[in-house]
Amino acid sequence: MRTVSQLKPSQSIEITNIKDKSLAVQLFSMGILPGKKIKMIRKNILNRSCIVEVSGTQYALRHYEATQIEIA
Amino acid sequence: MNKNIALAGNPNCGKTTIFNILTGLNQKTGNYPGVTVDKKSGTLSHNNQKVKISDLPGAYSLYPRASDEKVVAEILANSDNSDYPDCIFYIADATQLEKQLLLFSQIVDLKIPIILVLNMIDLLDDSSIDYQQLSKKLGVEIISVSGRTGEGIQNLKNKIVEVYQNIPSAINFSSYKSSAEEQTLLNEVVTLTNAKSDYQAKLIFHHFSWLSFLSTETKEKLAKLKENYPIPDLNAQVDETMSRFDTFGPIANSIEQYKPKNQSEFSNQIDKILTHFILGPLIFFGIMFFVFQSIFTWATIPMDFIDETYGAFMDFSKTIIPEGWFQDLIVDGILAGIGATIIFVPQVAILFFFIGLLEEVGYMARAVYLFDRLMQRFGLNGRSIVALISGSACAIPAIMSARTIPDWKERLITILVTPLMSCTARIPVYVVLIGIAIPIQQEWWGFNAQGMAFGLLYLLGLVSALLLALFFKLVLKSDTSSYLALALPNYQTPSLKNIATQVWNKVSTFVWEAGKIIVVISAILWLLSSYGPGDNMNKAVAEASEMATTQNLSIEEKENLTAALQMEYSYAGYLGKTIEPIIKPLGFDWKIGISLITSFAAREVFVATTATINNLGSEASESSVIELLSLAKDSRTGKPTFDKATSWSLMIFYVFAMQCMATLAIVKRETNSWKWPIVQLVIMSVLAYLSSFLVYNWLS
Repeated sequence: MRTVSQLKPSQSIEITNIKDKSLAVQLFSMGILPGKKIKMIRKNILNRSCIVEVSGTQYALRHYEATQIEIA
Repeated sequence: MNKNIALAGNPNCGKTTIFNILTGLNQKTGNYPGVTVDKKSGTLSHNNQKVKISDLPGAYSLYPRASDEKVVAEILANSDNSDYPDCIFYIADATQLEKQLLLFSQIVDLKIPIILVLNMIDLLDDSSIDYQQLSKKLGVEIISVSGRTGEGIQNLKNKIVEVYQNIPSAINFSSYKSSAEEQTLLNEVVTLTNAKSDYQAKLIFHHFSWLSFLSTETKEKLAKLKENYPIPDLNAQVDETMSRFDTFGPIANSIEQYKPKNQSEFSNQIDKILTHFILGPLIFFGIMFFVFQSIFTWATIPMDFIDETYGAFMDFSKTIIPEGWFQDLIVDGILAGIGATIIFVPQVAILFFFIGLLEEVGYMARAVYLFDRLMQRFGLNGRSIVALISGSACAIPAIMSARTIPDWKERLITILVTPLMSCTARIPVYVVLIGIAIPIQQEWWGFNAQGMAFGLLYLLGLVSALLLALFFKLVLKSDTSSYLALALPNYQTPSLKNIATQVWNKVSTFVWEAGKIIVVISAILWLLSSYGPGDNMNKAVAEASEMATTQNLSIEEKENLTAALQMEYSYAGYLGKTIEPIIKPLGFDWKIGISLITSFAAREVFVATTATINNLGSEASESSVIELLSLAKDSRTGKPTFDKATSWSLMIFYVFAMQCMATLAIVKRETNSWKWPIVQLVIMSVLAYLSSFLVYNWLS
């Protein structure tokens, strides 16, 4: 299953699932949930974090979080 | 009857701006019991009516992760909580409506009367959003406002007054239905806890392990209940959240056909540079250098002004209060303590002006993102870097700035290690001791040795702060797993009013809360250094004048000698002699012991006390202190008091020791207990003692 960590900048795709359930609860409450389109904005090659956009809001994600968000 | 009207909403929804507009400077900032989350309340005066409003911390949902969110859950799970609201004004960013309806729908299920306030309507492309339609679908009354332009604020004020006089009934908007099995469970929880609604029962059942209002007995019963109902916690939460989004999602989306003005392209362009993996940190350090400079240099202008005017005021007080112990107590004890507090005001104000500015503009979230991983390794937060850098100017505002760190553990560690950064008060101490230990012309590897030593002491502070942070990271337990998932708000023009309110709040908190403690400690230190057992002070004067006659001293020399002898015969002098055996292994004699005691007020006092006790008078300049102290000898052994080993040992001591009552006071205030300042004091003292011991024995 592909995850957000594999997205390239400016690629946009639908979220299908969030693997880590306790992370899922947090991400859902922030508006990052299955069915939403997630767009990769920028990757930080030094610390492997990234900035993504969901419904017009940008979020900074750590590498671990990005690997937990599965995409179509 | 007093009714509680509360503002609630997600982080970044503009709630604080609305709160500031409604209450102006009629605000009070306190702490919620047991945690260090700002408890903000204020009074709205409108149409001859005064309404008390509280501003609940920003939260995404009632399944909390940060301490701010926990506070909201704790209050709303307990109808008997004194902060439990009678009615909530729910502030939502109209440009991001959907996800903000999650917390809204949870509050609705708690059966708390609620009014929906749509904020930031000035950012919507077309203001013809169909509020009536939305209001009908959600079944809630809607008020649209803009905190930035002031649009709709009058309506909001009218509504608050109206609601205060006549609390509306709770609305019915169901976005989640419990399963039959869950319902039986919730019924049992309701009987156990007197929960006012099914959803409140559910919250209690989910969170009972950390909810403080539940008795141990109730908790045990709930724990038993949990064994019988093995509902998977997380999946239930996931299902609930999904179900809610499924209900209000379409409603919000039918409204959101009017897209917000496209501002994020502008933010995007800026972010390309500001969050760049190389340029980003460089720019951050540039900004921080500027902030540091301003606390370091600019603050000295108002500080000198305060120092002079306040000194004049103290002199004036001496002329109107009759001479004697009462005058001494008021002027040298209490007024001096107040002076020691307000001298920090410029630094606190300047730092919070910049922090407020950076937060308002939206930059702070980017800084957190940039340094998150690095700081995480040390158990710190991206925001800790602001505290650490400010800490090299002054620990007081730096520690106060840690309040913006959401995770309790990361915040506590930041507070505990920040005083290790070498602050400006250490500079006079370093200058004098380096001056004694290292000849001015000496060079190390072609560099001026004094300058190198200075840099070394600063570096030592930084490295030990990080190592101590690492230590605490491993030792302290944390009940929240730390996720970043940080929303990056669009860049926006800052509201000076918001910044000014924040600066005002921080300054008054510092003056009133830390000030109390500083005045008490200052009075005690004054007492110790100006009084001695029995008739000691008079004996000192007599002895000094006798010596002055036999040795033919000038008036000034006689005065200095008197001051030195009085210091020696005071309680502080006795204390210094008492601790001499303890500090002997560090190379310190009782005179240094006295300086250590008095400089607990503030590190720079070390120079004045050392000058006094060595017959130099308290006003001696740094260069003359250096010159004369290098000649000072132990009267018994004839060995120099400040040889190289002792000077270095003292320098290292001051790198680590918590010699600052104001820091202690602010840590007490920020952690809401005496436990942490005492832990900090003990750890820093032990560190200081051990490293001084090592250095002294290595060099001598």
